Amino acid sequence: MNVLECRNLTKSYGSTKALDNVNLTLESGRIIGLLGPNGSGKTTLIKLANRMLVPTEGELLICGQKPGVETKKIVSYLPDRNFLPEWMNCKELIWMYEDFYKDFDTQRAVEMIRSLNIDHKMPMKKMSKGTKEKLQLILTMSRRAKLYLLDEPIAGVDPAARDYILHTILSNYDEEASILISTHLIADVESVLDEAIFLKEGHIMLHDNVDSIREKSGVSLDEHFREVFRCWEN
Amino acid sequence: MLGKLMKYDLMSAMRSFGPLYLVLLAMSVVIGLFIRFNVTENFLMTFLIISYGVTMIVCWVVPIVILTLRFKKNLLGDEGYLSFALPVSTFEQIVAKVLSALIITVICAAVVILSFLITGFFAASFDQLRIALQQLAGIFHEVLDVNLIPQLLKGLAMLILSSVQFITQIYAALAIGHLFKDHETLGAAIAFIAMSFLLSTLVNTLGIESVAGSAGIYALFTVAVTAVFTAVTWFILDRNLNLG
Repeated sequence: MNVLECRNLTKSYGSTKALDNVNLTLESGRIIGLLGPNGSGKTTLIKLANRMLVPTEGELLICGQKPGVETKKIVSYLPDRNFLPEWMNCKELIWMYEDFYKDFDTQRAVEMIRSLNIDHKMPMKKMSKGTKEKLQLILTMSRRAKLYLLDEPIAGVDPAARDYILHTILSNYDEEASILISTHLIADVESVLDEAIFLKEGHIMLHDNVDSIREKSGVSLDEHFREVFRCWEN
Repeated sequence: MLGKLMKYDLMSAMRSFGPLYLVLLAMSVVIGLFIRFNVTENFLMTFLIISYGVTMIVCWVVPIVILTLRFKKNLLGDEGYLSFALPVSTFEQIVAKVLSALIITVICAAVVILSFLITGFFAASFDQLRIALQQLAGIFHEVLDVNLIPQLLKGLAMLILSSVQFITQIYAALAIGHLFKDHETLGAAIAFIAMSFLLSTLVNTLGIESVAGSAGIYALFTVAVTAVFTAVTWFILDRNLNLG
């Protein structure tokens, strides 16, 4: 089943096209890397999938439906910034996720929070940047969603935290679900990816299995990415 | 879902100005006792009365400021990434914000009235209280005699409608401000002033007044204006949202 589908998808900001006539199909049960340099259109694609933007042309479908209230029930989204209310603590955030998402697994969230020794009563504003990012990821991955959209989940955290984050992602998703990870830190995520999408200036340059990319190029995904984008810059 | 959205809005709001209301009520008790025991010439009393006045003004102003900031932060700031990822429609988000704001306004009015009553209660002697209660009962009977209740209810309905219109005007201005990247606050302020000017021109041109005779027309006008403000807010948040 196609968990995400883009048909001639274009998003313009004034005269600038952030995404230009993108056609893309993602199947369920895959971990997909959405890879590209800054400004390549990764965040725009993810925002369109969450209906935080409306397409200029074309359409985007989540499990056959246009993004809206119904698709938000099955999509778990991690934005690339601190998005949780600063006045709330862990306990209140868990209540809120329970209130709004039927697929939220409280037990899973509580266990992960306990393993990090985060004080249940400590408000977000008193937490360190790293703890906030981990908590955001825990809440996102504690949903039994069909599609996880993770926008730059490992940018701005130290290597130890990156390992924790990748471990959390891998050990907490349903194998029927798909994960789309947007990042430019390819070496860190390469080992967990099934597929990779190279995005450059709003165009998809490559979409293939990671094994196939390695086989065809004879180098790692990270090295191939560097070669491809170096090529475009010259 | 509407109730759940409102629950978190109210939790956030009360956290901000709940303590302020407690301070106001506590001051009412102290001032009442000072008056009761004739400590009116005291410097402390002057200070208390000034502080009480300031707190009273703050109690009216702070909710407006906080509701404005809450809308901006929760829907148009980083928290918007959470709000708009929730499985609720944009319309529900707006309605929840308007109803929460209305509840806060009612709570604010109730606290201010309660504060006056508390001061009166503590300031008066037993006899004075008894006389005041008798007078109050007399006024109540008079209201019943001349059948003022429908008028009072009409007035209350008008007050609620006007409050909702004012709240939606603030939200529409903030939504318009969102379209001006890097100058959101300035854009919102200009939009609010322009809308106020347009409204007063329209009221004057059409000759709509909130007097008893034309109350129905005024109510219809207020509902129509509220609908326009809500539609503008919805259109921007649903179709032109672009969180930074």
